[in-house]
Amino acid sequence: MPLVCLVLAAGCGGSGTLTEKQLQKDMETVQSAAVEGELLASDIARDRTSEPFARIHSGVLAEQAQGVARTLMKGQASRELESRRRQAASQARAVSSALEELHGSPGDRVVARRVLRELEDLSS
Amino acid sequence: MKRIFEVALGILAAIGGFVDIGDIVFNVAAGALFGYQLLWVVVIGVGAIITYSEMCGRVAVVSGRAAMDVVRERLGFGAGLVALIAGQLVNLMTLAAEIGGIALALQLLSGLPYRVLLVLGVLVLGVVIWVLPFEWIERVFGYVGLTMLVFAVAAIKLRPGWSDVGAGFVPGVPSSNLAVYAFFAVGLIGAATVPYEVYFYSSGAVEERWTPKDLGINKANAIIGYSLGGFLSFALMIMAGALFFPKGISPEALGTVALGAEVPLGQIGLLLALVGVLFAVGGAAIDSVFSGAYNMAQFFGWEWGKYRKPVDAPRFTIAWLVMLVLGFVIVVTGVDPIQVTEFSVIFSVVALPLTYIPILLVANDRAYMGRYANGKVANVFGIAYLVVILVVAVAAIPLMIVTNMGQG
Repeated sequence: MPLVCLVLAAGCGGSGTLTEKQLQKDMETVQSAAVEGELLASDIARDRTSEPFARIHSGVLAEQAQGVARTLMKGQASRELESRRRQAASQARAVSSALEELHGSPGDRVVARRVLRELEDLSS
Repeated sequence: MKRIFEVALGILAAIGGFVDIGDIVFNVAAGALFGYQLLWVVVIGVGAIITYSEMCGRVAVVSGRAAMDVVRERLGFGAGLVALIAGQLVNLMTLAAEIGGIALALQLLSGLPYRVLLVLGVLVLGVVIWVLPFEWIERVFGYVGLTMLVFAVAAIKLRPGWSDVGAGFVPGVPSSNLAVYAFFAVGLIGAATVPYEVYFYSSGAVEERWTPKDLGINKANAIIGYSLGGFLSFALMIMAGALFFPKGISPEALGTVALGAEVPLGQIGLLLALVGVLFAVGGAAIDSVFSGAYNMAQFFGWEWGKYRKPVDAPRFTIAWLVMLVLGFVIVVTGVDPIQVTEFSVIFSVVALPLTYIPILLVANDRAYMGRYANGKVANVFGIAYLVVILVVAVAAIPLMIVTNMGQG
């Protein structure tokens, strides 16, 4: 039983006030989704991927960024971190919505090129 | 000539069958997070599975008894039951993860809904296990799983810094992130030594009625097959180290792994990667289903064997059907297969000594093994890996908690 509790505790990211470390981790997750989205968008634009793969994987990445956006919007942060929290939440939403576009038009090379530029801007 | 051909086929099947969802997840994540720094750990993991499998195969050949049979005899019913329960829990988690992996790979190939593909995947697995002969299962999944070699081509095409890759084979300690590094080291050893592989291997030796004349095949399969299988692990880690590490991508989905082949090789790379993953994971699912049934049957003394008709080994047949259904039930609840994979690998490390120690003792027992008992070399490796296995077993859970499953 104690082992189960420990394992469950390990699986939870914790709640309450957002720490600097959690914020950093969340920002890295969004950055990772954005950069991966760039790779995918670039492959769609150059017709180097399959439509089912592009649709499913961009959906997974969009969900990943959306999950972070939700956590950041719900979370509370200290005054020093508050502006960074808001900025990170807004970036996460923007990345998620760009990836959603890819998810909606996985075979459209024009959309892919536009999303690629958006993600490049967001991840730079 | 026919013999050499058989050995070569067995080895090929072992290469394709070596990699499972745990290897894929841990090798790619380790490469993305630490570049090539953890390549040396894969060498240790592959050495461990070679040592363990070779001993298990040899014990099975000499005694005609497979792993769980030997464990029960050596540990007695009570302690043996603990080993059985631990082994079965790990088997079940592994199976659930592999079934989830099958559905994810099918989804990335077809775009169809995940849950529909879960049902389809389990039904196909059930039919394949019921209908296909043992050799066909082993070889079809092993050979098609060889398309995973596309990751080796991808790794080369990504032009990694080969001097950095070479440096990764030298054990080292990073200046920061030590706990996460240690967590991944434990996970990589766990992924290479998942117990179902050994249960399956030793039961296969008994099923195929190997005799002491086959000890050479046992050694060749273990050493060459698993070493070349380890090559696939290197390829996955080098690919991730060359592509994901510099860009700060942390892979959290199976699609990211496939992207690692798509970026350098385009659609053909993507297709081969997904088919390779599908068959590697499918083969591992079948092995873990059988391992679960083998363990139960060997421990409780039931009739067992894939070569027997279901009516001749009814409890064995029911056992594998129950395993398959339970594995399906776990993933259909909606748990993330990748997370189940991480848990299964870490818990398999914890459970490993429970079967490794009895096998090492029996392999060393001259009264039991006669002239086929461990020699000096086998003992040096056997005991060195006992130390490694005990250290990682003790460290696994604390590291999992401290690093929040490697999240840092």
